[in-house]
Amino acid sequence: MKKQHLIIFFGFIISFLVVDRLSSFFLNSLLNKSTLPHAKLYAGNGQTKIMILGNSRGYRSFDENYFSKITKRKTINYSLLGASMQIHEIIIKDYLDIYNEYPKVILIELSSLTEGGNDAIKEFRVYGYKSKRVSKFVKNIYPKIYYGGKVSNLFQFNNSTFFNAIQKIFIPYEFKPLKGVMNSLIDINTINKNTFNINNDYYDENIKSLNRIINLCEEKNIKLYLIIAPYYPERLKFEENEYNLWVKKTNENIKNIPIIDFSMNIKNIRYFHDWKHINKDGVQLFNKILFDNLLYKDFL
Amino acid sequence: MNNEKKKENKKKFMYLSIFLNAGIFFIFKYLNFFIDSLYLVLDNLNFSLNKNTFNIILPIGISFFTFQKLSYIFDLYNRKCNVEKNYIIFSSYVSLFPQLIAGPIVRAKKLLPQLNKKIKFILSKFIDGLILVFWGFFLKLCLADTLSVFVDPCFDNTTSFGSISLLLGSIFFSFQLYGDFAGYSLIAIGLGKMMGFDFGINFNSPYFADSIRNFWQRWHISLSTWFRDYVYIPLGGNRNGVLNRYKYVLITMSLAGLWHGANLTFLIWGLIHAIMLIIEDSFSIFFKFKQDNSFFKLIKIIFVFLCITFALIVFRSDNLTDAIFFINKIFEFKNLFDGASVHKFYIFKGILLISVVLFTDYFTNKSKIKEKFNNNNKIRFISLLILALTISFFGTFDEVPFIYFQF
Repeated sequence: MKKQHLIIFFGFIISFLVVDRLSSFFLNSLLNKSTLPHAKLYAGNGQTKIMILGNSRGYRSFDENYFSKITKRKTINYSLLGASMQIHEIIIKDYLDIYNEYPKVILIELSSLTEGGNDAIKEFRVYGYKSKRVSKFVKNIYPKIYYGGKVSNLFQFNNSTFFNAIQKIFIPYEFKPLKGVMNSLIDINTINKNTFNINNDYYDENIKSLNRIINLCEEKNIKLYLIIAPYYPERLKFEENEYNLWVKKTNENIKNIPIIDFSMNIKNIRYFHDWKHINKDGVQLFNKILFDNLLYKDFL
Repeated sequence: MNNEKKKENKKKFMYLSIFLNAGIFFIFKYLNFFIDSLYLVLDNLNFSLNKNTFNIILPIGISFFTFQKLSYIFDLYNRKCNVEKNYIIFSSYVSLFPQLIAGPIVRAKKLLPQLNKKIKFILSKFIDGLILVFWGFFLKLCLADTLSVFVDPCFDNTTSFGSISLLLGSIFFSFQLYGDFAGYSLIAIGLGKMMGFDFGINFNSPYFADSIRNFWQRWHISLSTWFRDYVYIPLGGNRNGVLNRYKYVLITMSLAGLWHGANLTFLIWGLIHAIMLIIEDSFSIFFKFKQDNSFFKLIKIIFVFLCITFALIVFRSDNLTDAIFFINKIFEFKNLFDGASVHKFYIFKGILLISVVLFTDYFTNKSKIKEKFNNNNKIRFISLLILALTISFFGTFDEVPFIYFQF
């Protein structure tokens, strides 16, 4: 190979790495300006008294503004679509590392013990730039993606979370409940009874994570609420046995902390967007039920 | 007399070679399809028989390497290339790795002389090739695979989508197919160039075509010219009057459709194109109207694109019933945006990337810009860098296989 060829080759590699790192640095600084809850958390602006965690059900079921209004305490919903309990653990630990003052209350919607998967970390990896835990988790679950991000730091920003965060620089983040009412016809053929699967490593790992969260909350004197948000009862009955087994096993596997089950509390279809998610009216009703019946007296 | 006999023998050998190659191709690719169709016909005639088909594993890239071999036979017969006596070189011609699986189909007269030459490393050619490879990866990973995230559910779960969402899904599919196939072709052409080969071009800004005929001059050029030279022209081409010409168009396009696979949808797709070509030819007087008016030209480009998109709905659907259902749902004009909101990130990203590709396609066709680009090493170096960074930032790395690998 001629000297000129080597110069061009190494020139290209060096230029790529330099531009890649500089661009990533710039994008990372943009992330600090976003109003997206997780971006605020890692930028140091996400301090809160009440922290909500969950997957899409956690994200769609709790109105943080209503919580703040009732409790007069700042509330942030750190739920992430499709998140597992292991991801919640990362978020809590990162929070405790970043902020000196701990939240008074953490509320976790429990369906992330079985539903979803660790796929959500692919979208969340944009924070791997700021969190060693996120980075390590990506490395364990998706090594190809992790090393891809090492070769090109820009690749870490190649996900919808980043683009969403950028959008939220210009349009401030606000809680948006789901609109529309679910179809009343339940197609029995589409029911695969896999929603509450407890016989797999994913569930076991999530239970371990939940127990670590419980220990941590005990240690830091944080009140922890484990909640199951409403399901549409007419549909849930098709998986009733699996659901009951799931609740039973979870109760057995976690330390002395009760599960507050609202799964059957809302029965009218008009409050549901689909069988797993309540809609705008459903959120209003559910949050009222939550405070009226259970949390208000002794919440903080 | 001797010459006549020689000619006769030559013809016999050509037919024998065609029979052998096309026969193998037919058995692997179409036998089960014809058996299925036969059973269907018999079933409709109330002959109930036990259905038996063969368990055939389709060799990868069979459509492409069969056509490479046929091209050699035709070129040899027409004295456009010499007999290749070196088996290694002939095998390399048939199975040259960059274009083995999904083309482009390179003619014997073009590739064999290159294989017989000593290959020399030329840096500028290597960089040219690298740029094509990177642009190919951009088209595949950024454009095609991003669009597939929205396109696949549109076609797999049509009932959940509204009219506008499905229209957008079908438009996205047109670009997905372009990104996927042009992407692969460019990677193959670029790799060839890096090794010192020139495969020619396979796509030339096809969605800027202002007529269906023009589209086929820009889309999968190696296949369309293959069918033109080895099927349409030998059938009679433009020589035997208008009606015969249309008949040849129907035959050629049906075969081109079936080349993509043993499915009625591909055949119908080919026929739709044939019908569009015939209608266009019949009304060519109107299409020539106001050629220089750029607004009118833009309207024509959009119209042609929509016609192609409409035909591609049939191409992408699993069967005709699904295709009709999809088209009906578009024209229902109900629940317009249903199903789109979940994919809004990919829709936004898709529209952005489509704009980039159209912009690039438009400007690379301008000769002045092309000249400037080819003569300026700094610009080429920077382009390569930008492409690499863009792929990293925008690429969808879900390991979606190339669509044309199935052909």
